Amino acid sequence: MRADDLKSLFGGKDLTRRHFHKLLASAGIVAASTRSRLASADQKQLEVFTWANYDQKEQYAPYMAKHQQAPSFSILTENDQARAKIRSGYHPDVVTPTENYVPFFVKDDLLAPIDTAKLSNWNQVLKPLRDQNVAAGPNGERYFVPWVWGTNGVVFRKDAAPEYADNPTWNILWDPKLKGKIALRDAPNATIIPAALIAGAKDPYDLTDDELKTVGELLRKQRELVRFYWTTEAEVQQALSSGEIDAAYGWNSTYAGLKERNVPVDYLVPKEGMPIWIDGFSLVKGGTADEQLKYDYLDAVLSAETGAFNISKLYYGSSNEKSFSMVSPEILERLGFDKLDQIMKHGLWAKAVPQATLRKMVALHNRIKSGF
Amino acid sequence: MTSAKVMARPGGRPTRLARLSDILPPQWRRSDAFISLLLMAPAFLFIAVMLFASVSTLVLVSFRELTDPGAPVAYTLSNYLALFSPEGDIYRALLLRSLWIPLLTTVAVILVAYPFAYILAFHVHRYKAVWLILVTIPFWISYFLRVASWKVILGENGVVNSFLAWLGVIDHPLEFLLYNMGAVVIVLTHSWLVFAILPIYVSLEKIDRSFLEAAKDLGDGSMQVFLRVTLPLSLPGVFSSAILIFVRAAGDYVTPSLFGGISGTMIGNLIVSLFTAEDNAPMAAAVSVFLMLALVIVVCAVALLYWLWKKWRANL
Repeated sequence: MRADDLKSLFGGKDLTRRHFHKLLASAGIVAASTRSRLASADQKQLEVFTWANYDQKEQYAPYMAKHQQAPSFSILTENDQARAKIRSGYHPDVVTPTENYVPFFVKDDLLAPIDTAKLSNWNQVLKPLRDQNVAAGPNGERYFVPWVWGTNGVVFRKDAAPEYADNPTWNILWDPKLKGKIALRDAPNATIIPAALIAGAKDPYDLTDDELKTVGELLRKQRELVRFYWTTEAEVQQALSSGEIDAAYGWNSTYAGLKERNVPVDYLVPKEGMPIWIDGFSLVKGGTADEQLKYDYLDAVLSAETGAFNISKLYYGSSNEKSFSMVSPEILERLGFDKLDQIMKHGLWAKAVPQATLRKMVALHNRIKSGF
Repeated sequence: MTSAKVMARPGGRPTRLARLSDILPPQWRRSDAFISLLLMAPAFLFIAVMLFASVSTLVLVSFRELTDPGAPVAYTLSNYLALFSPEGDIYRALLLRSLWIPLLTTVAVILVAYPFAYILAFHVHRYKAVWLILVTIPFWISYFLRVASWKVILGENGVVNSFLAWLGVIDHPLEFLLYNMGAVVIVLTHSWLVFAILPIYVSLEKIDRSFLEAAKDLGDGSMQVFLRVTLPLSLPGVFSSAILIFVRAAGDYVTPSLFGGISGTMIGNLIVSLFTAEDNAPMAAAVSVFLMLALVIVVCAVALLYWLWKKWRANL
């Protein structure tokens, strides 16, 4: 879940279906949890600070089976806002940051280390995800367990650019043939990282000034071909399905939504590397619920069943490897997860960009977008 | 006359104000200005807290140095210097654009709203309230939805293109309808229309009809009556709505982000990005102050022109 999902709340299809129901559901959960809080004054309930669609009962079923009482949820809408709230004294037990924000949480000393030995499902987590330990402490402490992820790639019309089916490359977004038929996401990462990958930057998440300059030139060239920079998923889906554009930077959920409507699109896993975003769980320093409750909850959300639910209902990848075999091949194909090994191979797990570099990236993105 | 007599109600019971006045110096007690100030106090306090406090916070932040959270706060001029540095070209260009787009919008809104308000004020005699309610109906839905639905109208397969194609006027959809400055002006014009229709209608409605009759009796034709009587008397409404629309349109960022494309991005978009993505509140505050100053200058210039115009007319 991203900050701009909030925008798509107004943006068309998503309003009616996903978000609206989730808003209603979260309201319901608030009501339910108030009641149960009264019922169990003796034990402090687990408090989870998470995104609006991450609070569904299917996602923590094993926890319910064990404790017969749902955690209480509070809804977060933006990583920065969550960080500010915790910094100013709010202490939930569990929080759900996006991976590249975790270092900022750790820097502010807001998180407690997680002992993965206490999680029975930890060994089922995909190895590339398990191997990376974002913002690890000096003794290898782990502050974040990955949970759902999604890809950033290219959604394109098969009828307009069939040759890219066998040549998956970011260069499709620089193809003069598609002039005026390309849309990019209006976010610094979405324009700059692909350009950096094409330019062969050493580390696309920590660009040097020279590399940023090359990227800037590439983006200026690309700008001549771009129809618009999109802000909501519904917007780009609509443009792809009407044929207003032929290729766009998009998420696998963008592709899945179009496939569902039988639009002739394909999802391109760029050989130069495909950035992947990850949301996961962290323990908040100062959370007062029982340790056992916290670990039971983490273990529950990491279960294969929860992952399968996330894949088929939220269109998000699961961190649990087993989840993929529990979902029908048709769904996996629709989501582009049939190419899981390709994704794992070319996947570029999002890293935190150093703040100074991030500011330069945002400034560059704004210049490009405003015609400079 | 004692102060108690001045302040007492006819029934003879002293009011709170009367008791208060007892402790005031005598020259204040009789001062109308003081009583007016007292009456204005609640509104003034509200404005002081809501506006003054937040604007001064903004100004304060704009002088802060960009530091990590927790680091000691330092103050600097560098944010403002950046606005005028070579790399600040983007701020200056977007500021100019953010004055130009609202100017076009304001002119367009007035041109559309004036005839409508005129007909409503002078030629509609029955069910005026119904007409006024009808005008506001598009504004019953959320701003975002209203704006977004323009995509359906201007889009490649949108209403305009489909209609023109059906007429046979075009064989390719017109692409210039979306993602440029013109699209932003069209959508903003629609967004702010009602805020011009209502004030202009009110100022037209207030015009004493006997002035118009007198002008006619003295031999003016309808056009002359309009130009010499109706239009000048309705200008207060035109000016107040123009200022309202200009200022609001200059600060808009939703419409340019949806319709602006490369030529229609405005400074509001940049401020949002500085505050959120770049996490650089001091710079964002400096750009906001920059925009506010520019708006104050424009509004003062317009007010000055209006004042000069009134003086010139009075001397006629």
